[in-house]
Parts: sequence; structure tokens; C-alpha cells
Amino acid sequence: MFEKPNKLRSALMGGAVIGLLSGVPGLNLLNCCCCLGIMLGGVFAVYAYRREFTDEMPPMESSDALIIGIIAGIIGAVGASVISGLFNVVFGPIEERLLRGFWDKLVQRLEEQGGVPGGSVDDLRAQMDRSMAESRSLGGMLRGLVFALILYPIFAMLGALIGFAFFRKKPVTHVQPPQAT
Amino acid sequence: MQGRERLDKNGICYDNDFMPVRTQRRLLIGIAFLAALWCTGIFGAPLMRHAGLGIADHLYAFYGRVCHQLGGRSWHLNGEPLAVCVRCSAIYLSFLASVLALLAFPSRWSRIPSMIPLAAALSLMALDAFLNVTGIAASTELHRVITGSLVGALLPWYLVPLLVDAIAGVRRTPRSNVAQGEPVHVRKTK
Repeated sequence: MFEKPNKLRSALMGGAVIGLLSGVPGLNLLNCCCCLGIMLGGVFAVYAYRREFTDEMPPMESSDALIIGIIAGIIGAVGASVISGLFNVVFGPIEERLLRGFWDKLVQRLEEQGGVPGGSVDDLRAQMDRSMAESRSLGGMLRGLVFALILYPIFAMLGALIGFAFFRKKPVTHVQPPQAT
Repeated sequence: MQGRERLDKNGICYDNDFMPVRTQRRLLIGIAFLAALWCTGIFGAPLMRHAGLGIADHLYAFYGRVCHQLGGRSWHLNGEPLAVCVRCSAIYLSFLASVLALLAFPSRWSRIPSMIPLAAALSLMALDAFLNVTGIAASTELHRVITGSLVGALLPWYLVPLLVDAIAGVRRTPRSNVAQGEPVHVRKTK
């Protein structure tokens, strides 16, 4: 029987997806929806791994998805931090402008709809400014990396397992062969 | 858990149940503990901030990686928003409730159910978010609670069997056998 495909290649591809979806300003807003970008990366890693299987190989198992998801999450956490840092250094605080625009529109709409009390809007803006300032500092970036290294492997693993459930071959039911008479 | 066997092309029966039931139950308790810890953090952050503890900011920053944390879209505790928004709170709380339900009914997590209910719940949540973002239909708090709860309640029924199976898979197979693509415990079918 042939060996299973190399997990690292698929994990790298999944990690790259996570890094892009979590590190590029604007795209990283996907993660506001329960880490959707990270989970998609995990799903993609399993999909890429699944495509490498041939009929001669043993079937993909959930343990493969588990390992691929965790590795993709670790790679994605580092990748996202690097990409985000590069955007900060090279292009300036694009992310800040994007987020601020989004934030202002949302707060304005919420205020019009009565979703937030008028007095608390200024507090929300101040809180936003504080978090933005912190994300530009070295300490804030390091803290973000530590948090990402904890969270991304977990959510990427969950995404990979969900992906496995969708992409796996359905197991063959064990049927007892009829006794020869 | 029993009966999760499959045949490969050579007629070899792979038995996935190499993890003792007691270990599986411990694993489920571990998942429930982690889910409870996660939910405790969600409620702990506003309480700590209200009490003036500095660690609250770190906790908010931690959950800020997985949620937008908009005050207008979050429930409040002691005048402070929870660490995640309404939809996320609904997902995590119903996830925890569902894991506890699984603990009560261990026979219900021996097989992965059909993916259709999960796909439907995920699509419903995505549709709600899409309609809201595009301005076609505003997502009310009730919508967010219902769609989030559905997804959170369904997820453990898929993730727990997969996790148990995956961890059993990691435990059962020595590297040398993995390299040859053969399971350790095989038995020939009659």
C-alpha cells in the first residue's frame, strides 16, 4: 500500500490562506464572524490534502485532519502577524482607516436605529482609538501573536474537522457475508 | 461506541474504537471543561472590568481576536459589554449546553450525523449576516440569537465524534505502521 501524502504541504497552503485572511486589512474582518477566516483556512487545508489522495492510498482519517488543522493554525498565526506587521510598516495604518470607516458607519447606523444610547458612542470611539494605538505598538503586536498562537490552531483544527466531515469518503458499512451452505 | 467498522478494498476490517469508553468520556468531560472555561471568560471580562481589575483588558483583547465586540451588538453585565457579541455568545453558550447534553446521552455520539442540518444552520446564519450587511433586511437580536444557537447546538454532535475518533487515531498507530499505511489492529473478516 502507498504512503499517505505529505501533510506539511497542505498545512502550509491552509496556513497561507489563514495568514492572508487574517493579516490583510479588510479581509481580516471575516474573523469577526467567529473566526470564519481561520476556519476556512482549516477547511481549505483538508480539501487540499484530500485532493492528493489516490485510490491506492489508505483513506484519509480524522486524525490527519486534526494534525493538519493544528499545523495550519500555527503557520497561519505567524503568517498573519507578519503580514499585518508588514502592512503597518510599508503602507501605514491602512487597517486603521478601513476599520475606522467601517466602525463609524456602523456606530452611526446603530445610533440612528437606537441600538446604542447616544452617550455611549463617544466611549465606543475612545475604546476603538485605544485598541488601535495598542495594535501599533511592539508590545501590542507581541500580545496579538501570543493570542493568535493560542486561538488559531484551535479554530483551524475545528475548521479542518468540519472540512473532513464534508469531504471524507463515506465509510463502508460492515456487512456479514452470507454463510455458505 | 461500537459498530464503527469499515472494510477496505482488501477486505480488512478497520475498527476505530481503540479508545476505551472511559477515556472517551474523560475526553468529553475535558471538552466540556474547556467550553465552560471559554464561556466563563466571556462573562468574567465585564465583571473584572467592573471590579477595576487590569486583567479585564487582556481578556477583552483575547476575545477581540474572534469577535468584533461592538457594544451595541452585545449583551451587558454590570453596565459592561460581554467579551463577545450576541451571536457569538449564543453560539458558545449553546455549544456548551449541547456538550453537556452529550455527556448525559453518551450513546448519541457514536456516529457523525448527516451533514445536512449543520450545512442548513450555517447557511441560515450566513444568510442573516449577508442580508444585514447588504442592507436588504436588518438582523435583529432575536435573529442573531436563533441562528447562532442553532449552529452552536449542532456543532458538538459533529465535532465530538470527530475529535474522539481523531485523538484515537493519533494514539493507536505507531509511526512505522503509518508509514506503511497499515493499521495496527486489523482483523480479517470472515
